[in-house]
Amino acid sequence: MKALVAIAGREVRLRWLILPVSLVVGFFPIVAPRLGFKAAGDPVFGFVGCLALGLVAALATGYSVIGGELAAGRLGFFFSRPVPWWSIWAGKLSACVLLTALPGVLAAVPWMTARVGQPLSAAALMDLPGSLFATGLIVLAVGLAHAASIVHGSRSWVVAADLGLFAAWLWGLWAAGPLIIYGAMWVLFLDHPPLNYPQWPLALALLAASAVQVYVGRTDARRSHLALSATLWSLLFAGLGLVAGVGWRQIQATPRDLADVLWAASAPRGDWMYVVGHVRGRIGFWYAPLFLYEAESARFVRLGIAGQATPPAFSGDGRQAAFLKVDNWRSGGWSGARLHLADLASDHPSLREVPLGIPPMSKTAPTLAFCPAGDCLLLAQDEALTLYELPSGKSRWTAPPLRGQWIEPVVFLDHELLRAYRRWSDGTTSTVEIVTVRLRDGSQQPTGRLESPESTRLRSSASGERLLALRRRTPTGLPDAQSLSKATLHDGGTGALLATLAENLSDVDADFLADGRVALAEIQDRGARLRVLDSSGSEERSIDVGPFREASLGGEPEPGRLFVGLGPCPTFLAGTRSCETVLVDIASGQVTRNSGVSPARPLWHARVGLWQRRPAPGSLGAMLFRSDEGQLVRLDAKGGTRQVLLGGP
Amino acid sequence: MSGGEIHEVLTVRDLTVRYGRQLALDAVSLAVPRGAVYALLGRNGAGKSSLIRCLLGQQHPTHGSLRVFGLDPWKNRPALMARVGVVPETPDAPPELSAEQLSVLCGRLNERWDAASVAERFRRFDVPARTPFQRLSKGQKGAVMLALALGHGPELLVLDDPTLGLDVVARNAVFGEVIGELADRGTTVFLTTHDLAGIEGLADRVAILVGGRVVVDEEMEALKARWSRPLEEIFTAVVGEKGAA
Repeated sequence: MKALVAIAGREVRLRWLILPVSLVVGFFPIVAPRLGFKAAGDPVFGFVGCLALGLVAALATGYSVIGGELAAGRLGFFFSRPVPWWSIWAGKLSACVLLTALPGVLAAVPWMTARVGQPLSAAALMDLPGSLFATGLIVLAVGLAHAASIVHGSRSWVVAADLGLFAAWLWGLWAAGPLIIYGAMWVLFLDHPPLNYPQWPLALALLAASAVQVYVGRTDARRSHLALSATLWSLLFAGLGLVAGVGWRQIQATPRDLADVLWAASAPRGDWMYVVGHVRGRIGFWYAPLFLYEAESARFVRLGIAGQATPPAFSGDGRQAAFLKVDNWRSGGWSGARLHLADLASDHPSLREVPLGIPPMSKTAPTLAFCPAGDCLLLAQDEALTLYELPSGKSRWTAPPLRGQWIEPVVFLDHELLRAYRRWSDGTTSTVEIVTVRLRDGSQQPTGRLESPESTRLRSSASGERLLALRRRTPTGLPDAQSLSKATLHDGGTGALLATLAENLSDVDADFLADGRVALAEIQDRGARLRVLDSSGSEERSIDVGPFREASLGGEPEPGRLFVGLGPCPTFLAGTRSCETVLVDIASGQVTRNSGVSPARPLWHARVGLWQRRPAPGSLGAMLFRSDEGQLVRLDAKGGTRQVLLGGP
Repeated sequence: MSGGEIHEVLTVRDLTVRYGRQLALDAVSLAVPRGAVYALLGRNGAGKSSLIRCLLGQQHPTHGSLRVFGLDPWKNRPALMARVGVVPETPDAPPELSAEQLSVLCGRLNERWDAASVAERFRRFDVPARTPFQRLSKGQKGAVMLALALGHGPELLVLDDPTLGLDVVARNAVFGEVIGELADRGTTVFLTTHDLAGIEGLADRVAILVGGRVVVDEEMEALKARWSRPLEEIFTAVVGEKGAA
């Protein structure tokens, strides 16, 4: 240790002038604004200046402290003394770090002192994460400069090998791109600084390589270079492989690895569903893979992760599923996303990419819907509706909205026609135009319109004959602000108002039941209420379901019985109360409570579910729930028993 | 077995050193007894420096073994350097430090350090104690390196062409110091040199390296008696003969 300190001391003494110079530089952000250079007074300028000074010092000292002496043939002086190699290595590199950190700190002292009590003060910048981040940068700069000096000093053929290996490493990085991203994200989400900072692994690899270089290379420049390169590239390739391996493990997750199912929706027929959730022991909160999953057989198909793949659309017979997927991250939105089809009828369901004649171009998530016969696929975006032939993927037609944007929903009226809605606004009023589109050629025929605020969402009956307009708006601001949520019933073709179903509510959810009646889940001051109206909008039943502040309609386990989800409940964050779902017998008004579960169909998700039909009464989708623990459960409406399908600790 | 009980200070057996395809030392074997002055001679590129780097634990042999005080210098370099003093061919002291500061630094790097004797040698060599090393003359630099090499009382002194480029006065001072050290403490000396006249009266034993191989390894007196010529002529003849062969 005495030798280490002596060696470090010699290096610091050799470069001591940098310290007073740094202190003088530190006064620049204070003095410069008074001389007319106002930008220098910005605290960011001072911070960046300190960091830049530290990095310059790191590069200069890192380059000279070992490599410079090795090239000049002076390292032998220390190797001829009774000093272990690690004292030489650590003594010199610790001097480097000291000579880099001290100038940064000294340069920061004057302007930070002048900013006491202001934002971005010393306390804010000198916290542990900030220090670890800055130290990581410094060590990285020292390591890079040191490696450069060894490479430059040796002037050997190893440089060519270095360049080749560097190119191979970059190629490996590119080739294993998605795996690297998943692996790196997993590492970065670990709660173990300094692993959270990406500069540290590289800096530590450089430090390790320099240690091996000093031990093996000693006073020989070429052998030093060889030792440094062999170690560094071994570590970098091993690191690349390790991170890619971790990434590979991430994407190998199966539905059985789901700890927390976020939502699920089933095919109209059969047992297939798609599930999205967080994976046990894998990456962080953001990583939510999508699966197609069949509960009975436990067969599954990986679709990608939420944000990379759209929730799939199922064909009417439940034998096909389609979704769009982008290669990596949505830097360009969904533009250029590729269509994938899953054949769910086969024994070994797999994905098939279908090249699209006209690729998607939407920035926002597009939505897919199968034609009733399953022989074509509608891609709905804000900018256009496009109909693709299946299985070829050839586009049959593209229909621009002509004015405004296409909005949800789109309803297949029969095998010939579909009904779509486009919205435009002139600044004061918002108009929704109802259009009938011919499936054969995409020709559009306006049939009606209705005035509705931008925040209004539409829900169509299965036949398209009637339309629900839901204006859900929670009052904010003053405590006595009036509730504005409202539900109206319209003619599906002309948009004519048939009835105002509810208004001045805190919140409302409404949908058409399988038998054509309308169900409304209303929130008023005194709590939640389920109302059931006949097809003309006249009230048949009104059932109080309890003092809740949120309510959403669930599925129908059988005709005449309806699940209603009540909340708020902790879907994402741990809360103080649990979710609750009630099963309401519409005819008798009997309410059966099921605590700790909420409907798994994501009505809160703006882009999912509205396009798809409500699950048929008694179907799997009508009985899927998410428990407070994140489990996907099938609730038996008759016996009240719960079968856990996926998820949980 | 402790190093102190070994009769031979340096033992080299079948030592081979390669740099890629280049053969620097080819199965070299030699032994240096305690208290001897062993001169290793050879032309430039003969392999002398490679042998010395192996001896100092700065080069790992490709093949063969080398022991200093019975220890492998590659593995036991710090322990051995406490018993070995080195004067390199090119003075390698930190250039910004003065002779006085170098003595202080070496004192921190050596457990045993006789600062007074080092200062006394600086005075005897007429070295300015406070002038940075880089501003000293070549002779003064050599003198400083020799003083630093002797500062911890080494049992083995390794001199790698210590008089290269020195004038007569500086050369005599170096050899005078070595002779004095020998007389005082019986230090073993292993040296390489081109200064054949200088070592003729100093060395006990001589080895000649040609193309990485030891072609002569003999007592100085026996060698001179056999050839009946001065060392310089013997060296020229041996190198010429073996080089041609």
